[in-house]
Amino acid sequence: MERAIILEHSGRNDNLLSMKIFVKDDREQDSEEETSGTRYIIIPILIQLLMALLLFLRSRTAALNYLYALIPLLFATSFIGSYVYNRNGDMKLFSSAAILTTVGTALQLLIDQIYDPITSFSTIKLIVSFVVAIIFVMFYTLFRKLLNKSMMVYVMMVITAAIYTILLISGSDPNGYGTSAWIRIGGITVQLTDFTKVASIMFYSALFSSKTSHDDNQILVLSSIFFIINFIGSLLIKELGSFFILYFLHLSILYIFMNKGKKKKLYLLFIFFITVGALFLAFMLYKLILPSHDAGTMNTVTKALWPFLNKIHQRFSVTANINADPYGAGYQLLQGKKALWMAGWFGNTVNFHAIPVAESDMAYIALVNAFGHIFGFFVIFLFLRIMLSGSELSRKKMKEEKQDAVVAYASTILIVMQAMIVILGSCNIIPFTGLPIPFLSRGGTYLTLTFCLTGLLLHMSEEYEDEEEDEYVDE
Amino acid sequence: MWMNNDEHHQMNKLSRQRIRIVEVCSIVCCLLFVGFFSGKYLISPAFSSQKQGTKNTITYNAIQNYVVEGDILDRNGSAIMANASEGSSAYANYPENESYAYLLGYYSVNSGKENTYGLRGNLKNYSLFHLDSSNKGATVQLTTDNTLQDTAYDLLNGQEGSITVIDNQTGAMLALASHSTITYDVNDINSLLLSDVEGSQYRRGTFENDPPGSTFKIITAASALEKQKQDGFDDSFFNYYDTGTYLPEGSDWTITNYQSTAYGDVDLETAMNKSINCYFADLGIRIGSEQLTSTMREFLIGKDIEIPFLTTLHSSYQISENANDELAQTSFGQGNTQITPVHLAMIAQAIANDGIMMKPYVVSSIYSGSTPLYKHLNGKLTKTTDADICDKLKNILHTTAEGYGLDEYSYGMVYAKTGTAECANDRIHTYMVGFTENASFCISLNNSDHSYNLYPIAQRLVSTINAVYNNN
Repeated sequence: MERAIILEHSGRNDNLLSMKIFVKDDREQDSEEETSGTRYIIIPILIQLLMALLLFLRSRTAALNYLYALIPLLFATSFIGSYVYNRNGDMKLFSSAAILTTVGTALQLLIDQIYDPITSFSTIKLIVSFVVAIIFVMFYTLFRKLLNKSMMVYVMMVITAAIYTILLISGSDPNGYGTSAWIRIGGITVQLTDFTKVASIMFYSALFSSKTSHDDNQILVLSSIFFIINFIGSLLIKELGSFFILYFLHLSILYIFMNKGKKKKLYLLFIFFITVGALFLAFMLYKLILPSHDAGTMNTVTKALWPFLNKIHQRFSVTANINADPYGAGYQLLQGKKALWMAGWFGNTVNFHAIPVAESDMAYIALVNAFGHIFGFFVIFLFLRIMLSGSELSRKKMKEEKQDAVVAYASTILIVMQAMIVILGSCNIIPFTGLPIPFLSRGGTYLTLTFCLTGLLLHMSEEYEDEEEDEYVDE
Repeated sequence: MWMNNDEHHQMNKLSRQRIRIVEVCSIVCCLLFVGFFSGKYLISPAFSSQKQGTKNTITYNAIQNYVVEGDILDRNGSAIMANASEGSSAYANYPENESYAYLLGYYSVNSGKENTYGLRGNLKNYSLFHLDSSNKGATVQLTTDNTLQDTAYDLLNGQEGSITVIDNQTGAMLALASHSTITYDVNDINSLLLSDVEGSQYRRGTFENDPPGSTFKIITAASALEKQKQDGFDDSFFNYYDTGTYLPEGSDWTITNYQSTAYGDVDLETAMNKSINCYFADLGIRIGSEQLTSTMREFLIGKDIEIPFLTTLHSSYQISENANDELAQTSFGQGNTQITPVHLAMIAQAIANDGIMMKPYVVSSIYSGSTPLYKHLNGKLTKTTDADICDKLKNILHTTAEGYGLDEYSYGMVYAKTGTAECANDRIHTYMVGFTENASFCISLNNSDHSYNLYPIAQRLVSTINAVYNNN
């Protein structure tokens, strides 16, 4: 790219001196860019070493275990970082993801020592997640062409419906979270609902592909069907948390990528009012059914409805008044609130470890409790950094292929939106949803999904730089 | 239905703008989150005592079943309060449970409200809220000496008052024994917390703001010596003929000596030995309010003095312009001057230390296991006066102390001055301020008829101070 500029410039002015100055300036610029780029590899590595020290201060056993995890982390940071750097990828995005992975790994190893999680953190799973993500990104390049086919919209609908059907038939709840979002394959449990998120990205990507050319009516109808499949499926397996994310994804994708028009406006308003109405109805039904529940006289219909209504009521009533049920529905959030008060700048000093589900839903609280609000704010900043990188990538892709823009935006939203919804929920700012936090929470399937989406974003950022170079030379 | 290129371009532009809106919203949300959380959980507790109280209450309630309160040791490492177990506070043996009671105070949380008092209240962030791996709070080492503290408390003998002892070189508080209108047992915090006896709730020594009585004559003498030095006066400056009464110019209130005794021709040393009010009233008027208030400020009268982890000492004075009666009364220790007994001990410490007042402190170090959390570094608080003036004062105060039975043969070099302050409600507050070669002290009894009641207390206290230093 630099060579093209120099030649063009010297050609116009026919001035050797001017060309020499430009060559010198470009070398300085190259050097600055190199320093700036490598900085985004060095910083995560330094933070990886810093975390070892911080863990040592908190738990020596956790620090020792972290040393084992540090090896793949350092390798991944060095090699993937260098690869992305050499391909002119988004180093800020890479750096943020690498730091979040480091913080999450350190946190999980600390949780193993000071909390009482159901399972132990596995470095092997971390490595497997890396490998699966790399394979996913490699195959996406091939798969991307398929997304230009109109039938892929329907294929994704079928796949999504199939996932929910499988879960309904043979789903399990290994951790006792009250949902049937997992299936057991051999000795491995896989959270199959995470695959519906990937299917959603593919669905919207195919729906908005310039090659498939769906008109506004088709987009509204098809996306609504897909939305309803997810809603019914989530209800049946009692996994409303994931649907919460898909709900936001659906609305934001339509808002951003659909053509401006009255239909779109009416549709979004309809969804908004129907959501408010549904919540209102749920509360009314809860109040109506409560007496018969207390008296033990519920019929078949009310018995079926009660778990959902009770869950919705609990989530909202606890957010409104955390002290309403301190030893029941509000216990988890109340413990989280105590931890937030005690955390201070650098973590609590009173050995407070009574945070339920610290390894998953409450990972942000556990992080702040262990390392302080400073770390919490740092994590928020890193998620914001990913959000900005992802959305900027999407904006740039809009100039080339809308399909890629949708993939970039949806991947970003799935990572950042889920992080923020769970973090805000665990801090009792919005109703709490029991979902893992990307990078921070335990769970092999979700960690793999997070790495896949991040890898996808990094890969797409690489492609963009190459294409931009080509465009420039063409000019 | 199909869009042309321009429409397509326009649509893409709109989508990019919408993504930019999402970006801006994300930034705003994150800023709001960080702002709200830092405000609520970090900044408010740092600046609002109410929020700090909320934080402490939440913390205490969460840990009270497993926290082991940290030990509190004296300067030799002997236990003052120790042997806490999970869920129950540390324990002080007799007599430390009473001798240290008002210094240690308490920390408790009842009905969502925290109650803090003294060192235990102020050190809660270390002894309760900084736990090691076995859930034990940090160990606090004080500067006090158990022998000296117990003796000092014993010397009070149930009377309302305080005894303060400060190391001359470092400013370390070797003893701060207090007794109020009740006997507080530190093992039973309700004996103080629930007490409704008048005047039972505050620590004498650090909160008792009364006129200093004749102990203030030390300040007046120092001020006069400074004036003599500055203006080059000879010793005749200090000569005065005493008639037993003195009427300041422009005043209608006659000052009298104790029992209206007339001493005739006297100099500064005799006046200090005999504690002649008329002499010091006249001396004060002759040196002037400007000179006197300057010296008072040098000794930090009217300024707050912080004792880390314990309290802040307050003092005050008021001498109106051209008000000879106020100046005269202030000069012999009455008037509008108010000062705490610990501050008086610090004034003695400054004179003993060639005019350098050291920063007072009672907490020497705090350790969590082997990790140091706090260590006091000795430091100069202020330079009060010159060393040569201190030497002159020492000569005068030594002969004064001998008049109290603190003779050199029995007690070594002791320097002292008593004071009797007339307070509100006809209460008499007596003091003895003094120092040995090693330590300074202030004995203060809130309701005592005469300062000679303090002589035997001072004699035993000085013997104990000497014994403590000789043993070290």
